[in-house]
Amino acid sequence: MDQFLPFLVVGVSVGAVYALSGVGLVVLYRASGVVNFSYGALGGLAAMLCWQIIDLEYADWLGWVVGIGAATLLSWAYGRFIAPSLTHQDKVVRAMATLGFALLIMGISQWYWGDEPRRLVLPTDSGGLEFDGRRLISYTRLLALGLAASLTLAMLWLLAKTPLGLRMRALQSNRVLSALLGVRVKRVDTWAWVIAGVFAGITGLFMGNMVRLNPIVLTFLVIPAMAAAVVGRLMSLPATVLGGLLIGVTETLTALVPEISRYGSAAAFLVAILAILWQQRQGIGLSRDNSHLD
Amino acid sequence: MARDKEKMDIPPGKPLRRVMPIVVTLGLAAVLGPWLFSAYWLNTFTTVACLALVAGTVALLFGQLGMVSLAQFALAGVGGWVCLRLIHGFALPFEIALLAGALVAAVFGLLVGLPALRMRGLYLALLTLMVAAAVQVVVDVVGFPDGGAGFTGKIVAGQRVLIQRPWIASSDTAYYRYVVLWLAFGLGLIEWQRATMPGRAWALIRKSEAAATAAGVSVLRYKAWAFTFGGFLAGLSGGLIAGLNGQLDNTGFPVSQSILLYALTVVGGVYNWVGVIFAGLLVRALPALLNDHGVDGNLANAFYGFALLVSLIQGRKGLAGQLADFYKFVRMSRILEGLATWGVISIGLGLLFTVLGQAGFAGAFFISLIALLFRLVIPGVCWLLLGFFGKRLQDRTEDMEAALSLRLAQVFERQGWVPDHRFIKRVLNWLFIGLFVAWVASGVFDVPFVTALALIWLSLAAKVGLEVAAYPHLLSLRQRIDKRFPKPFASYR
Repeated sequence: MDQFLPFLVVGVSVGAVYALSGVGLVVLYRASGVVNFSYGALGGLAAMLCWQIIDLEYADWLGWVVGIGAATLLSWAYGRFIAPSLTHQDKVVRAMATLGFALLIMGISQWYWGDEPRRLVLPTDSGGLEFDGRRLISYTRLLALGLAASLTLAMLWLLAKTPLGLRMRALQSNRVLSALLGVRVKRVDTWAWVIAGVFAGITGLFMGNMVRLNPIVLTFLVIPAMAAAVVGRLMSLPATVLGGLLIGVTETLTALVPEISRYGSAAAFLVAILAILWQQRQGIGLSRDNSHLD
Repeated sequence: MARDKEKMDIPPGKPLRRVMPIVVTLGLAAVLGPWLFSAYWLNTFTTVACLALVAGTVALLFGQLGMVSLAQFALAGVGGWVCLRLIHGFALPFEIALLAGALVAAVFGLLVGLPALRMRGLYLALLTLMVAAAVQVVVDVVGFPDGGAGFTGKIVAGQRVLIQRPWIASSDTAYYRYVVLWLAFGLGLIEWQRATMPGRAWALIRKSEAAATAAGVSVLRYKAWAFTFGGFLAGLSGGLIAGLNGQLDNTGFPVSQSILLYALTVVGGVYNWVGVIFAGLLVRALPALLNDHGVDGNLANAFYGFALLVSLIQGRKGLAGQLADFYKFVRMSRILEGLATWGVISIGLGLLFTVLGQAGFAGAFFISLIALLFRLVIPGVCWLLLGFFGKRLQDRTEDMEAALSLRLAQVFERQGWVPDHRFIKRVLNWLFIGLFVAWVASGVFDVPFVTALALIWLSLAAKVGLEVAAYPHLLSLRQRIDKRFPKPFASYR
């Protein structure tokens, strides 16, 4: 138990960040039907911008605000100007278009910042909760856990109780009918993109702090996040959070077993593949059908 | 699924006639390539050929069935692994190991595809993405066999052992030809399938699965076949990549590369084999070219992202589709005529300039040929570039040019001159080609700028002169040829 606990704690906190990314992906998918591949690239841009501003010796909070703000702004711009021209396409095509956006952002940030090793330091890194005289969990990881919990609850509340959430759920079940009933489709979609941008910015900062501060690495961290979202069928927020935590914990716990320790990072994908196959057997595919587009 | 105007019907043409252009073009590339390129570029083009084969399988799944598989490049890794393992472990001949690797990759492809048989598009993309990511992790840890003991065949300490290339293709040049011929075989096979029973079944499934079932087409069997076949060719390409360097790098098959390959296949065009070759060139040759000129390869990534967005917004025809739109109405007689006139003009001017002592024969010949080639493709390239900014802009620019030209033509007519209704286009084309090609050529071929300019404009003028002079005599021959052969690019989308 003694050597087990630190790993579990680290796993849960990494899982919390995956869960947070997953929630961002799911909220956008539910409202607009787009699987957002550019999520990681937006987060990467946020982390790099934040590092740049702190490196230029401006205040830390300015870095966070600019980083998250930039991710939100770009996400909004995509949702407002590019996504509408694709709404009548297949869902696969809409997902792949965000991949193009991701490559665009990734290419530019990698060109500007390059491959040098850097670290994004958050002020919460230095302190932490102690247990038996040893550091058990840093405040950054604690913050990630807290944010994951509170933001997920906030999203649940948003979807269930607010007028915006009501419209999002309406779009989720049928876009054409909702439009007929007077839901402002484009506006609701754009709000979903803004929310996704904020989530991407926040998770980008955490990932840049915990994993590695490199645009390419951060861009492709969208894949484990997507694994978490797949566990929740791109639909259920609690299941997504559970999936994220499960992935994080499996990833770190494999480090304890020497035979499989190096395969740890495959955990996310295995969990997702198993989840997909299991859902397939249960006959529950993706939640939103777009048969109305036929 | 959305009714999509670009959804393809089955292109016309008998199987053999549709496969021939692939075999001929790639055969020519195989023969001529080593004369034209340096050793570095030859190796680059060998890799391009391998990647084009993988892109071909991506295009097959996406273009024919609308299924997104992001795992094709990972399947190439599987094929390469098996191929290396068999050669190291059992000292099999290269071809047998290659085919065995391809077969194993085909089984893996089928395994990936099996859940897809009942799966809607997006879920399949996610599933294959997860598979590709998992393969990357496994490859990272296990590594590719390089002569060690045990199942993984990984050497613990000491020199990595390289595999031998096949005995018929041990030099770089021969291996380039070998790979290009395999590419011709692979793409030809895909085209053959598209032109026969499976192609018709795929087209029907794409239109409507219900209709396909009702018509007695086994949706299950043909989807599974597409995945198996795709896996086979991808695995083949993995073995060929392994043969190029004698080994494979553990970081050689990352998921990012799978994604990039998919993206660029869409940019290149998924409905015909030309697009697939474009995809290979974009993945490997363009970054190499940029590298040569000191441009950061990451900017290429950014540009690819932009290009992917544009081609998806515009209806997924890609570069090849746009080119085909432009050259769709070209007739066979014009191609033969063009080849003849090009030959006459280039050789004639080459001889003339050698006799006058202005330039060497080879230099003059090539400059003249390049000028004629540019005359042909520059309007197409401009059309393509405009296409990136939208069909509407493309059309509007063309309309504007036509209107202006018409106005000018009317003015000329009043003066009593011969009108040419595409006057502006021609003048711009001539000016651009003259100045640009002369500028490039004066650097490359060591010819004075003015000589090069004279040579270029002479060749363009000679072409017009020859055409005007020969037109009445050729008319009946043209008609006879066109009756015999249909428009060669008409079946390309």
